[in-house]
Amino acid sequence: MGLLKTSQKAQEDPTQAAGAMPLPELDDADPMQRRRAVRMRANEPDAVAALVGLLAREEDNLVRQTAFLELAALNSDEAALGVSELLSAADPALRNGALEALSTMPEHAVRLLEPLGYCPDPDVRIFAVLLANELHVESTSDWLMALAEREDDANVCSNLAEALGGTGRQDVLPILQSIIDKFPQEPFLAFAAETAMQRIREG
Amino acid sequence: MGQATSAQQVPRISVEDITAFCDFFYKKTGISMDASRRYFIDRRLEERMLANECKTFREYLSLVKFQAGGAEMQALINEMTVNETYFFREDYQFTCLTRRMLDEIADNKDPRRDRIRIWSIPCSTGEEPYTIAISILENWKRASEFDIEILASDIDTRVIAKAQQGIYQARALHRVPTNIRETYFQQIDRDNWQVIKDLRESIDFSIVNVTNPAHMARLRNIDVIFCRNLLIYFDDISRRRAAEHFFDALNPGGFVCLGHSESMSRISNIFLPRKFPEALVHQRPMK
Repeated sequence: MGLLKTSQKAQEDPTQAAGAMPLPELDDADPMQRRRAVRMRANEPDAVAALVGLLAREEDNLVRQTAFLELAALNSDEAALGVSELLSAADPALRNGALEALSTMPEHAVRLLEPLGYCPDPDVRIFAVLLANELHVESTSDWLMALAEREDDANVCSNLAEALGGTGRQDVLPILQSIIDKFPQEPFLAFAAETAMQRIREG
Repeated sequence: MGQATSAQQVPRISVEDITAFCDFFYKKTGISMDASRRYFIDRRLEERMLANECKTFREYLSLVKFQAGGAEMQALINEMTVNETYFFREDYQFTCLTRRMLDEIADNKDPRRDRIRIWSIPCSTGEEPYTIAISILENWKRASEFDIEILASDIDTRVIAKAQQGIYQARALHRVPTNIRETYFQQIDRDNWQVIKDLRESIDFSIVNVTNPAHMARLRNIDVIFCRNLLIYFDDISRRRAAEHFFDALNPGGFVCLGHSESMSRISNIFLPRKFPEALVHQRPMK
């Protein structure tokens, strides 16, 4: 007992004991096997469809994290598009996971802002604004301004106000004012837009 | 691509070369390098190109990519990694290990059947795994009840060789109390102290790249992982991959200890934060 010498453990090293394991399936009852399956599927041509399909029904956080990680690592237009479909999921954790995965592939995710900004679901448009804020890509501020000019949902505009405040651009000031004017009955929006305007003025 | 000058001069490396190299090195090791380290990268690449008598960067990169056996890739990794450390560095985590984590782990094990396995990655020149061993022998009362394995790994072959030798100078030993030095070290000349043979033979050193799934698949049934100040060199995806590999390597209830400036919650939510009086560590859930 005590510290084992390397010579003592050579014969019975548990790391060497594992035998061949059967190929796992994405619908295995055991979450650990589903994780293994996720990793193996990640290299196959239909990986995006398979992993996004899994995420839509998967409830285990560990399996979800692995699937999001593999999709993010694919770092492609197809992966970004697949992940973006999950922004409209009912489960907030799934939506947040999708947002996080998209933010790690900025060059592909930035192309999705335009279509996401026209999604009829205001929650998806909110996620698009949050995503734009996460991407740290210069062109996103133009997109935020364009969306703010046509947006008529107060909750989306609230997020837009915060994101526009972070751009540091003087030319967003009239757009922020237009948000205030657009929703005279929503004092929280006036507060959000004025805070953003003050942030820009103070540099 | 880089231009050759004369045989005696350092080959020039262009910005494009550096970008191509950083991309390649990241894919191989998970280590993310950026322009802020340009001088560091240039110097080491130039040294390796001269050592291999490569006249252009393209020639050198081909050697690294396609050489049978991968010796030059390993030499390059050795040059690019930083290995400065000392005994009992950030020792509050070792206190936490012997006061809290090991007892919790031991309570879920049968000493007649189960081992306790601790893994130090990256172990650099060995200061950390030897500190773990000494801390356990000195401070954990139940050490004699269990078989305890200490594994230590690094991506750098050169430091592993030094770690196995276990020879250190005053700089590495400055936080070692005199009684510990006298018990676990032997002075071999005026400037050098060597870890005693018994202790050297208790650490299982190996080469491991934490972003390599094949390497990581060999590591299982670990109870505590010390991975301090490594993930700061990785980008987001590589950090998350490493976290997933650590999760798989750990037994349920096992712990990960990161460096003081690192935060698992910013990497992944698959571990539970455990706040002990001495340290915040990260635990694989029991179920």
